[in-house]
Amino acid sequence: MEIFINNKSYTAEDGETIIQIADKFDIHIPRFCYHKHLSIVANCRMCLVDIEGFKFAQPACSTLVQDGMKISTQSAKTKNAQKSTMEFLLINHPLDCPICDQGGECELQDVSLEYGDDHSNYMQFKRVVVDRDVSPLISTDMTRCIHCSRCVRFGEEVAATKELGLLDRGENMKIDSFIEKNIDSELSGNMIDLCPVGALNNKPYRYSARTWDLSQKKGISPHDCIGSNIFYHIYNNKIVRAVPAENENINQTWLSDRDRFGYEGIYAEDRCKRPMIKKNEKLLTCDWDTAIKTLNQNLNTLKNEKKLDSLGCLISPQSTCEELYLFQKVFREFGANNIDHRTIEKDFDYQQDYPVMPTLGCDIKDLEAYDNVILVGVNIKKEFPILSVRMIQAQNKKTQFFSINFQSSNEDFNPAISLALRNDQLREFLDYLSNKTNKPNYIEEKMFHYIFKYIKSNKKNLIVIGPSIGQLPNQTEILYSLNQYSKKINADFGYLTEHCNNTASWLLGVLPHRLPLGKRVDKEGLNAYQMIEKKLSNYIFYNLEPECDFWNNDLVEDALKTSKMNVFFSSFMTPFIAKYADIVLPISTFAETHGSFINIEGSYQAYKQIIRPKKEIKLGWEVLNNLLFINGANNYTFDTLQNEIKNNIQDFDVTTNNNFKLSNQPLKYIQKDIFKFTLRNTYNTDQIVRRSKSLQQTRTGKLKNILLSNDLFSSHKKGYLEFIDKDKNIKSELYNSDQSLPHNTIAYQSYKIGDAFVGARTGTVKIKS
Amino acid sequence: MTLICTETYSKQEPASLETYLTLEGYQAWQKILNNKISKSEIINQIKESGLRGKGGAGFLTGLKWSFIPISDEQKYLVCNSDESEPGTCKDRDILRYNPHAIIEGMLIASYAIGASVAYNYLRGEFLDEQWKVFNKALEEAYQKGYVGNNILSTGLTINIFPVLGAGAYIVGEETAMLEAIEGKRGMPRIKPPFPAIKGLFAKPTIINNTETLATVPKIILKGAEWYKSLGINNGEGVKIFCMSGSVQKPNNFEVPLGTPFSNLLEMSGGVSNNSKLKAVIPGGSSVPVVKGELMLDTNMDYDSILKANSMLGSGGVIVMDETICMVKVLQRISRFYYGESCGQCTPCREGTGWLYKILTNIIDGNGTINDLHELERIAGLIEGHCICALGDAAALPVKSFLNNFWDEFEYYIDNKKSMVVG
Repeated sequence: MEIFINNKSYTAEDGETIIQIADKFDIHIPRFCYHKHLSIVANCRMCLVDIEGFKFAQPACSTLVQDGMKISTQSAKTKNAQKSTMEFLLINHPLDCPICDQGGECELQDVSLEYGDDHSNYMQFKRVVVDRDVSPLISTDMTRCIHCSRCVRFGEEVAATKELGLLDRGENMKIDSFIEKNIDSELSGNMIDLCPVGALNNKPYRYSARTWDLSQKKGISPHDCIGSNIFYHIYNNKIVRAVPAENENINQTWLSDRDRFGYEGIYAEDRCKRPMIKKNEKLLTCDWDTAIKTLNQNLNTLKNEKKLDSLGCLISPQSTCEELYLFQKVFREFGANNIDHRTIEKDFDYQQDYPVMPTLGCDIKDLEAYDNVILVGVNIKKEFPILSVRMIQAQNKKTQFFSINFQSSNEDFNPAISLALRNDQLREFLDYLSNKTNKPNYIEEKMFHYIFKYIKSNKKNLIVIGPSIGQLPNQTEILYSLNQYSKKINADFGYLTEHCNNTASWLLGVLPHRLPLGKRVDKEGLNAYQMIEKKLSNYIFYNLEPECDFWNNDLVEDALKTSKMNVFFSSFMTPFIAKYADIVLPISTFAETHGSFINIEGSYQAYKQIIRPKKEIKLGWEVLNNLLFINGANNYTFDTLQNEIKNNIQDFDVTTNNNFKLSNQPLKYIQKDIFKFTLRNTYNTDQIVRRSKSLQQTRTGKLKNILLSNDLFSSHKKGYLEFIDKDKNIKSELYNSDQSLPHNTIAYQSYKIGDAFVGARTGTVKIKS
Repeated sequence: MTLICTETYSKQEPASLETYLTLEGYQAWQKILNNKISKSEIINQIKESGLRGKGGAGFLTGLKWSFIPISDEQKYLVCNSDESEPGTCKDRDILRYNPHAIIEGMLIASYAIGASVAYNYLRGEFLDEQWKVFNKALEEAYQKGYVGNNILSTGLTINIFPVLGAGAYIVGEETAMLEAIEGKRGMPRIKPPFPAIKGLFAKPTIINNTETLATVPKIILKGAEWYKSLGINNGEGVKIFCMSGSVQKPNNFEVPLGTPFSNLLEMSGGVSNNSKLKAVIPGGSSVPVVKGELMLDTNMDYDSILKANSMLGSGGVIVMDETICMVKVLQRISRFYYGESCGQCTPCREGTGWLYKILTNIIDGNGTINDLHELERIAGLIEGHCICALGDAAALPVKSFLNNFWDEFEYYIDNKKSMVVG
């Protein structure tokens, strides 16, 4: 149809609103309550426009276009209506722009420049609203609120956890949390962006800079495998805050709190600042030349003595593609075979048949095309908060979710079924779904009834395997059963991985059994678990925290104790590193280097250096490149390196990649004693968020207690918990019961420094009576 | 005089089923069920009768019913008993003395629009009396089988649920009422979509006033022509007027539309305080005020009152004699809208408070002549710029009071006291 705005003709579709057309053609209409990803409420009345045939100006955000409609955004009627709204908005607004963090990027400020008056006719007292401390991440100055209700609608519609609402009415209406509750959502930071004024602001950023002094650099989130696009805002070479960079395919206009505030970890006090070498049992600082030369010498000695089998090379999949690629290249050039990134895994029998690169099996935006999504071993809300948004959207479009985890998952969307199963039960359950033999008696009949009714092979099904499955001692078995089941129901098969770049780690051959692009190695090396368990005499750790990033930190300590050379490429100086390192090479974090990540849908996303590191901290890829160079290889520049990687992976077809079948049926795992596993606490998933002060202050960040299933808790009478893990006794008073756990199960809240030292991530444990 | 809604008022035990049955109660309902009168026939009959909504807007009831789409989806009827307009107390008495007429009207309306569920939303202040009376009547109707599943063995199902409000004026606005019934914050919705297309729980819904629905049974029983003949052209039938303020005997009077105001005033015993008539608000506090002498020449029907620059509204007639201070009246009215704005739209949320604060300033003796111009200007900025009519309701009285009684306001400002004695 044809409509006219300011006497110019535009084509519009049925069902579009005036503001959508105006935005499409860059015609300015001021607005506060309207947001393209939120429902329309038309309550701010800022977008009132003059439409021919209407006595009064109508809101552009809620008025649907009609053929031949004549709209004026410039007429006196429009201007008067908008100016009157502006006048009303400003009478009770404190106009404290000089001390408001929103100043300079405030929508009210912008619009008042055009529509506001230079003096006020309002002579009465202004409204004052008392603030409450609702979150360690969001500061509130509710006197500034203009009641657009974007934050309320965000909670209702996007995050599906209503934490803010409208209280009272009329002039006394205020935005507040119910019953004095906190804002605990993992997506709460988005309300800061949505707030058009300075009512909800970024608390950690508060009063640290004026917005017009900031510069902006684009980055990719390193905290999960979704790869959210972020703008980092920099003041004096320091990241002071992060906001979402719009990407309709990935994070839309949203960002999880972990992505928004995680960067604080870069500024942790325990950053490694200088290279160090151990001399006479003491770790002393040295210059880079000495450190690199010593490392090179040691490696060459190993090479010459043909002892490279005693070298274990481990790298975190949180590293950039460039670091991952160079890492395997450098140590393969020396002749090492023991190369791996899967430090949190135990069972590797699956590895020969595994896809070249694990992916989600579909694009993130296409999740809503599925009828059923079966989530196995993942709690989306806690582990991939930004994905919650997509799943809520999918659910609104009638996708059903089924959640099977070790703890019945508390999600923002509503899974049709949420089961909590132990690792042994999980296989029995899956096998029953596939074969309908040996029916498990611990699951209610109606659950099966529901599953068989809805999950059928003629529907579009997706099975998503979460990172917790990787930690299981019987991972292969579960993968095998899931695979059987996926064939039965004709489901697509997808993964959500532990870190942001597990995808690239597989694709670029950071593995003991594969070269880049899945090519076979001549001689297969040890996997990550074997390297630790076999107590090798030399280790290279890249970007890894020995306390937290391994399947069993007890074994890591044993291995570090007995080995001859421990080299840490690390950004942080942990207690283990201080105690056991022979060489420490301080390297950049994600923000201090150029880099790239491949997200879980297979999108390769590169970014440029965001801030410069401290003088003695080197970019990780440069250090690796230096090692290559002094051994006679060509010197890479970052561009030649990145191009080499891009050329390598450009022909790789993501879509056909997830088809995989295990050749041998694994043996049945038998769970003795109590099943224990480690929860992936949202703010504990990688070494950077672990160090983000603001995130650690949230309710989620503070969680510490060991969780006992109800049956264990009720049979346990003591004031403390004493249990035997392998052969050591552990005592703890920090425990409570959790009814979302299956029988006979213990869950560790987290795996971080300062918490109970927990040994293996998953396995068995005995409670001492 | 023909009484419809108020027919039972003078009887012993007016609210009881027996009383209602002796006055041809539920006969219209039985007539429909027995003769299997079609839905369209009922809607046509209501259309022909010229019955208008009696809550305030005066929209043609039959036309409203005909907007309901013909489909198999769930539909709802909502009876609006959230009578909160200052000066209005007609529904209060119908609920108290003639609840069965409401129930029968709700049944007929539900049948006509194909709704199997109907809600009656009562204002929270009705908890003590009307709520109990209505519930008791509903129970009786259920026992007799007029309401419920398989009504009078015809297989028809209509269930009626009373809902009690929590004291917000704005919920009397039809879409805010739908929000409130859904358990949400009572805030008006954007129209379109209109409730007849997307109403309660996003299903087609008709919302009618209590008095409107209580009138329906008699129209069905006695025919459209009969009802029409009671009133005048474009003012068909009867209407309850709630006479309050400076009258000797304030009361509800059900009179034919077109009755001269002077007759109504006489029925309520004339102006009190041995004083003269000064001003009248003819249709609840939201409508413009009319000067007394003009009102005495005006008939109580839609067109005549419109000619006097006001509106018939809800029929809440507030009479003011010469001893009443118009400045204080306006301040009181403004305070009401200031307190009752839901807070959703900017002009109403901020503007109603502004109006009240300026008026209070004048009452306190701190006003300036400029304040009067400011009041007019602010009222103009609110008008027509909000989602619902509450903004207009707050603006219109300000404009009309200033328009009609500017001198009195000016006097107050100059002398820091009221022009009238007292």
